[in-house]
Amino acid sequence: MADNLLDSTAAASLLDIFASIAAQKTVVLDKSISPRLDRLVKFSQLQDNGVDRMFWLESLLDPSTLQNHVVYILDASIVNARTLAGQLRMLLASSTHTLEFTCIMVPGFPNAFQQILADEGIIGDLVFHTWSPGLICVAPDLLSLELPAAGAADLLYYHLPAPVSLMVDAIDKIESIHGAFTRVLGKGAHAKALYDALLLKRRERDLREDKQNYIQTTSALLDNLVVIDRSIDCITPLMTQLTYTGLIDEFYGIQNSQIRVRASLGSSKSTSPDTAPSNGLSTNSGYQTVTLDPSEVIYSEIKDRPFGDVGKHLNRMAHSLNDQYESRYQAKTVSQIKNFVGKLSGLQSEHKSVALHTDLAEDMMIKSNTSLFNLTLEVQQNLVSAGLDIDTLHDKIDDMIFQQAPVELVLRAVCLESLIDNGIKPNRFSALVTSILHTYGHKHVLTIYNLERMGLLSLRNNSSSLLYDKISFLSLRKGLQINVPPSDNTTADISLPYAGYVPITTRLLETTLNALFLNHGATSRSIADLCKLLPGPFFDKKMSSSDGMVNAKETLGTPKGITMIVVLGGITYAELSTFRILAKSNPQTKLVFACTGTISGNELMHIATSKADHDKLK
Amino acid sequence: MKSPAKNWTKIGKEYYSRHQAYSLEWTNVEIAHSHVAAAPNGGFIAVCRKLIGTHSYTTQQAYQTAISVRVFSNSGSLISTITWPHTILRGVGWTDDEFLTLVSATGDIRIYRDVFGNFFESSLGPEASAIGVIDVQFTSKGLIARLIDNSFVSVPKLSDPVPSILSLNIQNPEISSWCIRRSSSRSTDIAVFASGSLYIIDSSGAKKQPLQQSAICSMQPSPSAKYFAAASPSGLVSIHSLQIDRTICEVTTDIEGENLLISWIGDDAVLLSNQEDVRIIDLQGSSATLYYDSAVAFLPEQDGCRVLSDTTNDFIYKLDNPTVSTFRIGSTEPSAILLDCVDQLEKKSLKADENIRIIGDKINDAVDDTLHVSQCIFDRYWQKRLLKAASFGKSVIPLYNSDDFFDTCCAIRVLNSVRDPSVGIWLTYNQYTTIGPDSIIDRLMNRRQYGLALKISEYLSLPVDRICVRWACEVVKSTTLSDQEACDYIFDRIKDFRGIPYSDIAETAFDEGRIKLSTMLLKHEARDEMQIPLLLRMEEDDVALQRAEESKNTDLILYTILILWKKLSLAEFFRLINSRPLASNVVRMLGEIEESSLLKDYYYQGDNLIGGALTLFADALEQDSLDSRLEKAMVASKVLADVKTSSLNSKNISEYCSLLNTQQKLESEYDHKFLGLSLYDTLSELISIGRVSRANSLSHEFKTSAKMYAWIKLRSLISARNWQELEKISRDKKSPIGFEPYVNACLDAGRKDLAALFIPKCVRLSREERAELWIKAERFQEAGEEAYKNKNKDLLSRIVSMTRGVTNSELSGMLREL
Repeated sequence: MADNLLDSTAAASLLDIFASIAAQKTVVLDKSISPRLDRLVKFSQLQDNGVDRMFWLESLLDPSTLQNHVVYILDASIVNARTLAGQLRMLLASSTHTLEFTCIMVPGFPNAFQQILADEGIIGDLVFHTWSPGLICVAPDLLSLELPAAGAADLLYYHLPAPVSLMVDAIDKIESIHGAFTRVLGKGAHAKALYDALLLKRRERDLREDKQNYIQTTSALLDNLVVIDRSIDCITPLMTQLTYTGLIDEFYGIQNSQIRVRASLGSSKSTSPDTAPSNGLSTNSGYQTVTLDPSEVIYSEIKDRPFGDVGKHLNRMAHSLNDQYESRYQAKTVSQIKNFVGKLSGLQSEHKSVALHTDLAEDMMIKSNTSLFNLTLEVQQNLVSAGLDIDTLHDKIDDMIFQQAPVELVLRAVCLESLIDNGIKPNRFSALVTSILHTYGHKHVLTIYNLERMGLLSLRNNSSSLLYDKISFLSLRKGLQINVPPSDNTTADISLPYAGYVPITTRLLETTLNALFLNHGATSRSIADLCKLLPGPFFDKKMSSSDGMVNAKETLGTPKGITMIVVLGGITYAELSTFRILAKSNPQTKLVFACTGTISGNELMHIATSKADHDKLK
Repeated sequence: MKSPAKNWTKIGKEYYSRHQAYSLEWTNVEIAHSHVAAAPNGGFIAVCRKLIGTHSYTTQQAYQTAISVRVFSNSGSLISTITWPHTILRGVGWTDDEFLTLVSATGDIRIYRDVFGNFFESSLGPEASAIGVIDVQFTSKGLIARLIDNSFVSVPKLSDPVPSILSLNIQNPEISSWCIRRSSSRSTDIAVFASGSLYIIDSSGAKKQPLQQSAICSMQPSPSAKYFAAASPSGLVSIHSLQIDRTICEVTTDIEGENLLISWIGDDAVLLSNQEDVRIIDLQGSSATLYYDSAVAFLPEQDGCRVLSDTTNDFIYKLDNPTVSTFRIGSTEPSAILLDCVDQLEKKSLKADENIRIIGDKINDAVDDTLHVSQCIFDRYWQKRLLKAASFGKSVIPLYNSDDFFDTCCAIRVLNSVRDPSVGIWLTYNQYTTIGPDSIIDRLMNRRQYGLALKISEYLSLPVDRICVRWACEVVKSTTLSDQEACDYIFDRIKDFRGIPYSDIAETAFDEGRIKLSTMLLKHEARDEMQIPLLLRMEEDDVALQRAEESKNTDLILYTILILWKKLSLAEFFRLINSRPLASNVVRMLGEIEESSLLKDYYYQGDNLIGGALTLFADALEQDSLDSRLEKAMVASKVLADVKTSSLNSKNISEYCSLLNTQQKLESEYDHKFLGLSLYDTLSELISIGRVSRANSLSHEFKTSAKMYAWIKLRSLISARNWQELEKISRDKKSPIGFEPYVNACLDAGRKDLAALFIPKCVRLSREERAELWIKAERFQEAGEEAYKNKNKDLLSRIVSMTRGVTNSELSGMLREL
């Protein structure tokens, strides 16, 4: 469904660039581009276009292993410009045969990138192309820009709108194919920036078209565009995700829909682990790469379920598989046997999948049965529900630190407290920081400072750096009904993915959808009221003829097709599960989600710890 | 209207047509005394006085005045006059892109971007300039020059001139004629007739080619390089395959003379002239004479030949089969019958329908042919009739795809409008499809026919922006209006067109030195990425940065900052940055990613001491040597000490320094790795290697919290399996973390006995909880007692069920008591 929105030219345009270079080529690839490349282009397609080998950008290149034509595919970033410059100089100096270079820039900062190379004095040795992968369909209902850490470093740490620009470009592309969204609404500073830029794009699009026989129309397919800014809800990514996929992300860290787990998992009955790298680049063995394919039968059944239910479901599926295997004894006639054999390969792959997920779930069960994991959950749950007094919570956080829980988990708990409690009291703050530095090293002075700058951590009454300035989480908790005791009977309960906590974004989306599709009357008021509780500007604009737009249909709000939910700065897997539950309960419209990427609390923390990680003493 | 067939000449079995394109408007042109060169496909005609020939060069005689080259349209209207500053001109020619190219005797080349005098210079290289040029022939993109020593210099691409020498290698050759046989980027070769023999010269050298003719004064390959024709002064004309290994025909004519001209009509026939008579000779040797009042110049095209006389511009070409069969008197071909329908329809005669029946299933061919002929014919009357016929014919074909018909109509309309004498671009449909509509637009712009260029572009749905830009640039260059007037004048006329790159116009204004006009024009530029580079060139740094920031495009801001940072002093740089939040964020990013000096400057000038000091601390962490690490960290701590809100940071960093010093000491004391560990891990390591008392004192020194230290001790004793120390702790009365962690840790380590020592000390736990711990430690007696004291029947009975023997009976007794 979601991929229908895209024109799927991204892969073709890249292959065109390769086809335009007549020679045999060696590709040098930036790791951060690899996920996007993998999704769009198979290595064999590159081979068909004259590519013989691939190297990572970071690796040391031996000129003698290269073809005469070297094609770089990289994110047009400052770091990569310097890396590229250094590498080119090395290759030009050491190579015995003449090398030609092509650089395919993924934006990024293409103008600045070229300027740096010009300063480095090697721009003349390169032929430049720009390639924008844009939104990629990663699940039937999910489009993603697949940015590293969902672009959260730019948005939340540097406070720069670069990912917003990329998203605007992608939406612009969708609108230029299908027409404009009838209504755009959103919340948060970056969301507003996206809207402003989208208006500019619409005007530019208008300029490009032939003015005589062109009138910009609203789409017959696209209804509403709902833009949600991660910065209105930094609480959710800090919480531990408790859906199956969410917990996999917490434990193994999903990259590019893939995780690396022990090779023994799921292999008890199958043969050797599947370690064949997808893009010709080698990875170490001992581990296997498991791809979590949302369209695969077994995984799609359990991916959004609470982890606690997964065992039950796997069990049921294993039984049903077994029954189907048994059916071969009932097969008497030749056609029945033929029928069974026809199903066999499907059964076998499902069988393999069940075995893998069962092993994986078992492994996760062990990880989740530790006292430290339970302590972490206890702290988080009690923070959002105010279930325990703050001193007890402090003791528990201290216990986490003293038992050397991973630093990310500690920081997540601390930031959670700061966000919820309007900052941390000075005495507690200094004791906490001291404990953290003593336990994890003094380099984390920088981490603490970075967290403060991101607004995730602050001293009480230091309102300047708070995300939820002037808004107490208390009123939010009440206004949004953030805590719901999980009910046992309903499987489609939005409180399940976080075991009782409902993400702020989910509540916001729920209210928005209700306003859009249930009571047409006082629609935007109910959203606006809710949005008053959250930081950042709110907007709700319908396309009107005064903007030079002509409405495709007279009645706004009559559902035509698709409502797209854009999340800027990363969505968590468990959050996505709650969104999907909302999608199910709103059959009036088709919901498509578009994000800058997925993010987990650990990734968010890594943005803050990256400076400390540069410590050379290790 | 008389049939086009009236103008046809039959030569052999084929028909040729001499179509008078224009009667020429020019004056003062005598072909006999002029050198004429034309750009192909209806391009400009350059006329100048005859270039000085081979023999007279050394005398340095003749004209003392500068040479002027006049440029005419095909209809003979004077477009411009270009003055050649020297007295000697060796080559006049055109590239396919209609760039006039002039070559001097010393090998200097001028390539004119337009015919109004804008040129750039190039050269044939040092050999040519030392030896001197005799004459020059032109290829589609380049040229070949003959030098005085009878060697040749080839420049295949004038836009990227790489001269190479081709030499004949015979002593004192007497060259009577030469021509370029083949020219491409891969291979160029020329045919030279010297001292009675024909030579083919290419990059590998000169090869003698056996040939019957003893003298050749003119030779020429056919346009598609299939054939090769040569003429002798005696009037002998021979046509060969291009390889000259096969003679197609040989004809002796009565056209004689030293200065014969030979040229091709497509690949079909050759034209021969001795300035008096013009003869067409086809490949079979049949011929016909054409009559002219004056001398003529041949300007070969791919599908025919233009023949210029003093008064006329003719196009001579071979008629193709459909044309002949449509118009031949008495033709019964389907296309001729279909054309007849138009007559019948005008007469409202039923015969039109009858005609269609006669054509029958050949109607498709008939329509295609009439359409094709309409493309080949130049007369509007017949064009219209043919199109009407095609239109009528296609109406009886079910599911006819009208794309060709539509495209033909468009093309004919465009061709007719540019063939108009006021425009004077005379080209055939074939030539038009070869060069494409974009080139037509270029040619119109070369003639400053902007209005027509615009109309044609709109008619064919081509982009108009480059026309607007070129027009506007010309206005900018030539206008005498004030800046404001010029800007208004330009904007007024092109404001209705969308997406005009005003930055290009502004750049021209800037290059012309009209800075203010440039700024004004730039304000109309909608796209920031086009504006900013020019603004930076114009030193409008502040405006550039402002535009970059307004665009919210991080890339543009970064680009601008990179340039400004390099260009400006730090003070100027930060003055621009400071008031701009987004730019500041970009500077911070740039600083964090690669330039910590920039970052420190940024914090320093913004009085952000914390930021600056922490940057310094980050710097310290990246130091390899311990000393410089300590030094930098110390400075950072000192700076922070002066900031009220950052005393905690200051204290922590100075604590870090003492930790490093301590670790260094520990390393030398115990020969064990400590540097870089956290305090926690330092203490852990000490305990693991059995230095518990040293750990105690260190923990005291660094004021580790009691709870933390208790945990450290517990965890490291367990992992070091130091049971004695743990036993010691079990004798303590109090523990800052209670005793449950000890129980759990001992149980996890499999020391149930040791765990049992700690269970009684867990006084904060309830009896049930303690009972559970006892159970885990498999001390059921104690567990049972706890349950008994708590009067918990269920628990006790559960414990009983786990036991046997004495314990079982004892506990069963207790259970009965409850």
